[in-house]
Amino acid sequence: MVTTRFTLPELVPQALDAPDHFNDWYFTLHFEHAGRPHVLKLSITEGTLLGQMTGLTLSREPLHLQEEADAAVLLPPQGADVLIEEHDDPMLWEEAGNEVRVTMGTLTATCRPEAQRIIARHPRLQADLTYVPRGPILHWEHEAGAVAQVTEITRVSGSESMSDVQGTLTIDGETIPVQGRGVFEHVWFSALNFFEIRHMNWIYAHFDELYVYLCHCESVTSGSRPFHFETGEIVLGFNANQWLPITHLEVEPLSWVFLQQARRFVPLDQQVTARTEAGTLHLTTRMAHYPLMIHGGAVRLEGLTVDRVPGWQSLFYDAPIILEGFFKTSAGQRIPLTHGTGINELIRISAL
Amino acid sequence: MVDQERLQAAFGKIHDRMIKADGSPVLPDWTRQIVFHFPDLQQYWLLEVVNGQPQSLTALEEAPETEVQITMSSDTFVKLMEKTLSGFVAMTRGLVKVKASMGDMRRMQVFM
Repeated sequence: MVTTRFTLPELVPQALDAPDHFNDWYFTLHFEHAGRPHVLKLSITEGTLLGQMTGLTLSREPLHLQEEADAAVLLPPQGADVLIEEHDDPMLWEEAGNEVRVTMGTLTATCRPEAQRIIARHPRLQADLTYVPRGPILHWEHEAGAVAQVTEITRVSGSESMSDVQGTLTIDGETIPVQGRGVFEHVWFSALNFFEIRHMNWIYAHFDELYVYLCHCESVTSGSRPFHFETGEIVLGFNANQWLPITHLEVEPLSWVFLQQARRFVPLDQQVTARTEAGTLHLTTRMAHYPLMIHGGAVRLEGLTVDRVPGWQSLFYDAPIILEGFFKTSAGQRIPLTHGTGINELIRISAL
Repeated sequence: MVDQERLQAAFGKIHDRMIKADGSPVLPDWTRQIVFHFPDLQQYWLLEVVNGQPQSLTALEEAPETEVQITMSSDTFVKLMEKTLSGFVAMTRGLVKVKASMGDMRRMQVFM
């Protein structure tokens, strides 16, 4: 059902009794300050994927690329970005009246059907932001609470609310009003096996004319067979908020950069093609800020031998991106897209 | 390093998680020998599983050749079994060494 409102069951923690599970309340904000693009991410995560963790990050440095003879090298930020993680705080939550409140560490998410609020009280970063959906809320498997089989084991449900955001942000004592676009996501995994994943891209993007989220995951089954998953939805704002499920999806790197911290190459520019019954979305994405490493980001699993392959590595990050592109309708109309911002979450797990 | 009582209690949780309330196995077609190596205790423990039913648990002097080998401290093992440490975190922090097939990795999630 196409709706701009959440139901309360979509907002409460789910699958807490499952042996392996995950919940998040994930808020981002893309805004400009002092003439520079900024990306704020505030996230509460619980469960067996990442443990109890909150993340508070502010990306504001441009990418530092160093051209070398055979490759461009992505150097770490030089100190202006804010990267805060809090671990092992308990999750406190309650459903009262018409809202769900979730607190962990210095973050509190107060979620109502029509709007969501995130408050940060960290000594270095404070925020009070309100999220209102720009239009229909996007759902995994196209329906609130539906279960997406992302890998042989992993089951994901939840919602992506592409939102208009406003509020205040205080960094190192300086308070500024902020306004922009972002996402409020609550997803939950009722079963998961992270190590089945080999390649995953999750992308959301805002444009003036539309918004989109998509996920493409390639994994292996317990029988060592490939397992494919793709999903996504587009809302065309220029066409009375027309909701379109994606029927075919491709994410293809156009250029690569050597990510020094991870000691490997990662995509710098990518091309996204997403087909729907009403037309095809054509995008190019470019990493805009340094990737936000998740749970260590680049991990060497030297002690893991799977299917006789000794030594593995995983890479898990959120990269703020800027996007350009157009939507070509089935009737042949080409609609240019403007002011593209988003995030590309990327997972790679491979042999060392 | 944990004492033998806690170690055995942790092994007991494997049995509990592999058998349903009605006594039937969660993994009815799974037969494996699993070696747990605890370097801090200088101990190897061999767990035999036949058609999903945990059988004997045997202390060994040396590691036998088995399809599934798990090496970790006894403290890590207890934390994993008590669910105060996730398998993902244990792996990414280098607290556990595992040698297994993807299929066995999946099945072991039932009890670890």
